[in-house]
Amino acid sequence: MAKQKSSFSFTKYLLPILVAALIITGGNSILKDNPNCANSFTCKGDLSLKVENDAVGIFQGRTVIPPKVDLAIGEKATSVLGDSIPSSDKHIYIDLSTQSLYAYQGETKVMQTLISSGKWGRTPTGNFNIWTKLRSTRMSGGSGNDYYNLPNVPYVMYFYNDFGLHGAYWHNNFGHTMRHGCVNMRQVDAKSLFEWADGPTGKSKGTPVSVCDSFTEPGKCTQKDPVN
Amino acid sequence: MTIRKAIEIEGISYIVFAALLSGIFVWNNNRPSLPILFANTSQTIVALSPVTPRVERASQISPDGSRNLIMEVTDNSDGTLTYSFVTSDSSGSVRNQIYLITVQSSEKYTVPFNAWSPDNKYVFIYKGDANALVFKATGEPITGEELYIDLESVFTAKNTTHTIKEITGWADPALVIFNTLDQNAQKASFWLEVPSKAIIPLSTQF
Repeated sequence: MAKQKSSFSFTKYLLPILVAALIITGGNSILKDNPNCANSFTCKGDLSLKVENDAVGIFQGRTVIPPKVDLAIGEKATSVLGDSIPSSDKHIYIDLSTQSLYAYQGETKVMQTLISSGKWGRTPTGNFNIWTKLRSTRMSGGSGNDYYNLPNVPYVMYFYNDFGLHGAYWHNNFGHTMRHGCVNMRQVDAKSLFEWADGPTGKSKGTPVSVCDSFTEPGKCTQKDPVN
Repeated sequence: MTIRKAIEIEGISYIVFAALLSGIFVWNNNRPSLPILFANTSQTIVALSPVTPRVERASQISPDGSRNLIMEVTDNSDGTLTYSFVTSDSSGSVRNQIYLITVQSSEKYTVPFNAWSPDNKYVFIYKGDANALVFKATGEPITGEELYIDLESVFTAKNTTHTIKEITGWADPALVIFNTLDQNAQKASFWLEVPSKAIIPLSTQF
């Protein structure tokens, strides 16, 4: 009898709690955006150069017109960030707490601007290197009202899977988090950074990118839960 | 039916109930945040921290770098200030006056970092600490008769329960994002749709 009562308590109380805990844990991890992806559709797809000048974008259920991209036009600016100071190591820092980006060449800060990092898909903290630079590509993901499909995303610098720095032509709310996990910049800032930063070449890695919970100066980048 | 059988059935039903409940919880936690339709309401003010400090001349480039919004402030001998807002192309050769006003020195206008709509059709400027005026970048009236949209006026006409705290920027080419507090200091974000002047409450905060 005593044994039967113990079994009864287990099925009545403990087992349902265990089942609920399993569903909540498992369900959340299935339904949430994959933390290793910024753009749920294009993440595993094609992360390559794409110029689609006749395409239109969709963002927040509305149509947006992307900027035209002409690869024939020389993209190299006459004045590149840091060209007036001695050549030395480059480093990009993202401060998630202030939604700011800092670019350093040696000890010299060559750029500081506001960005928009991920709101629902958090931009991962950690230390990375730019693994590819694309003048333009398509990014898509989300679902429902959150669905987006954006051609000609300009000046893309991927640093961790499909998490990248890039220009954003569909909003102007920098200094505040927006949709997914990439680091959005004004196109004018993204262009300057793109022309200054290095992609990987032969034996050398691309420009380092440190994503920080908070940042004060080079070497002082706080990362509470870095992915690497 | 044996007692053991009854206990088993009861146990299974508890498990099913727990699974259903937790499933609903998971679904609810993960559904995409949708803007909800507006119910008439509205209202007041708090402090915005202007990104650009007021100077004799201030400007803000458009996100694509092709346009510029320039503010010039003139100190008049009678103690008033004359504000002039002009949009221009990047070379400065094509200029459109969008706003010219003379005010008491206590009245303050500033140019925000996110002044330009993403498509360069509109600009907004800060008026005081928690209001914005939205203009067509060409200098033409934004609606048939109005030169600009006064965000605070539009909002307070429709919402009496919230106070504008911050106007942050553009969610898309026609949506201005602003943050508010209600009487219980609860935060809420809204969109102002330009030029329809619709106020759209958001289910998430910016």
